[in-house]
Amino acid sequence: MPVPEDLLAIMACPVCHGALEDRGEGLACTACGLIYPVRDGIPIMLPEEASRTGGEPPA
Amino acid sequence: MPGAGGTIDASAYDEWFETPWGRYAFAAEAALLRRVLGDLGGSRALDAGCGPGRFTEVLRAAGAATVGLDLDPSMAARAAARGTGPVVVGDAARLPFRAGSFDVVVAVTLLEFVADPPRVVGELARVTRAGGRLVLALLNSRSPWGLASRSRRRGGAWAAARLLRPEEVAGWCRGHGEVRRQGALFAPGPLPGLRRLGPLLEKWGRVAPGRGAFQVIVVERR
Repeated sequence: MPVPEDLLAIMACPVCHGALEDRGEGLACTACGLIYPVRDGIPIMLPEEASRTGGEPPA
Repeated sequence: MPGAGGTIDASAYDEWFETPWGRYAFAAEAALLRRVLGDLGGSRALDAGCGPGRFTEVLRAAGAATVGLDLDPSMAARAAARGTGPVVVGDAARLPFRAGSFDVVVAVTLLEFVADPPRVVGELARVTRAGGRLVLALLNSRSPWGLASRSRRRGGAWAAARLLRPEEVAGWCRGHGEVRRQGALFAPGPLPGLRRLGPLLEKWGRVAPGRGAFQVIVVERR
């Protein structure tokens, strides 16, 4: 279930306040690279639940 | 919102609202919030520490496009199931929103459950736009009701709460804008005849709003 555009537009990474993009598998911070999971349509915006992008450079 | 100190059973908490006293308390609290908030048509509102989403519905009914946030995934799932708007799991001390994203930010009995309430107030203020409003609702130990009964009656949720003095919270808010206070919920608890007497108590109570069990602090953001 995609995160609504208007919600994504006001959301930010809780760690660095970077912009987020919906990558399907989660919401990825374009600044620090943390990926936050989305479960049953609910973004889990907790650093301890986030994973790292596999060495991918920040956008 | 449940804090790091312990989890609150989401279904027990949600069911508390369907008890006679829960219904009475929620009605008095929602009425004060409606009075304070007025028409929210065209505005975007955050319900921080939304729990099962009961107060998110009040914001929605006032016309706001709502976003709910709670630390507890089971609370967030309940709120999402109400269908009032998007819900995210997040920590009020590190909000996952850009600065100034909301016209109105409401936090009902959130600060009692967080480790660092002044920091949370700062975060809530950060995501409230300049000219917008931050509305904090607290439970008041110095009310006829008292908090001992409350802690037993909200699904046991209040065992984890740390009560704050409204004056203290108002003090943390002053750096963020103009501060006003109001109160409601003047009944001392589940009384016989509450249905008849309650509306009178709520009306009379307005002469001493500081004695209401439900205290609302409104910060007009600069």
